[in-house]
Amino acid sequence: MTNPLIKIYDVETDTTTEREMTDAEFKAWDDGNKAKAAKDAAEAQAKSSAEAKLEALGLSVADLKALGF
Amino acid sequence: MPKFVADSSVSPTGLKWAAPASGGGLTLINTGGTTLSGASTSITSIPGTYKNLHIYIENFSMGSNNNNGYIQFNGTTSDNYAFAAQRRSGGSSEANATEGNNDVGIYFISVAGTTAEGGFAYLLVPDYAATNHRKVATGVSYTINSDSPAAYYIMNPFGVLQNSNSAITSVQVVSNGTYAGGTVYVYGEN
Repeated sequence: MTNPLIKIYDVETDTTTEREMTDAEFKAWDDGNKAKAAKDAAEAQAKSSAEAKLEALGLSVADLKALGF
Repeated sequence: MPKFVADSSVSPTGLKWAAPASGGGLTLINTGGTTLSGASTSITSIPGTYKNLHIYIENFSMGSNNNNGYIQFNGTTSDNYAFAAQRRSGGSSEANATEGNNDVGIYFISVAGTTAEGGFAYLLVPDYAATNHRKVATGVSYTINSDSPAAYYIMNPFGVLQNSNSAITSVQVVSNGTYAGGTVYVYGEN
């Protein structure tokens, strides 16, 4: 499998280089993306859980917004 | 704001327009702009001769729907950024905040799709060449997702590159997928 491509434009030399990420660059990129995806998933889960609790109380997100939250 | 100065040689009232203060002009640093492609597009060897950087990312689109986009400085890829953003989605009429500590970049797009449809992001990086403080960025962006949820998104991200006071000499425009199109313009402001 090939690594994703990156592009580099050097202002000083006015040159553009395109190449594959090195394995180290790929690992850093991939690890970061996975960490962000995990955080987003946890955030979505927490939001969904909170909405369910609100609904059980007969409230909605719109109700909270109406109150200025 | 324009000012009057007293000068009886130019009008009966003795007033004329003062010459505007110098500064404030924008100079395009990466000549002609740089087309986005692949997972990351980097503008390097940015001179430290300006006061602020203005980054315009125009008409971008992604290789796949639901991709995100973020910027990095000086090729710093590890967990050195903190950011937050207010985000509004047209699809669900949400208004929420997304945030992260120890992230790999300052996210300016949370969801973007395969069609550009006017996607645009602007980021200001003030005092980017200083070496006595952390570097912050703030901006606003618009994008649209072509998949479910098919909606537009607007964000006003702000963030910081932590753990370094170094001058910014390069900017990376990165995605968790790939950019299918778009152009980044980096302007220097005196």
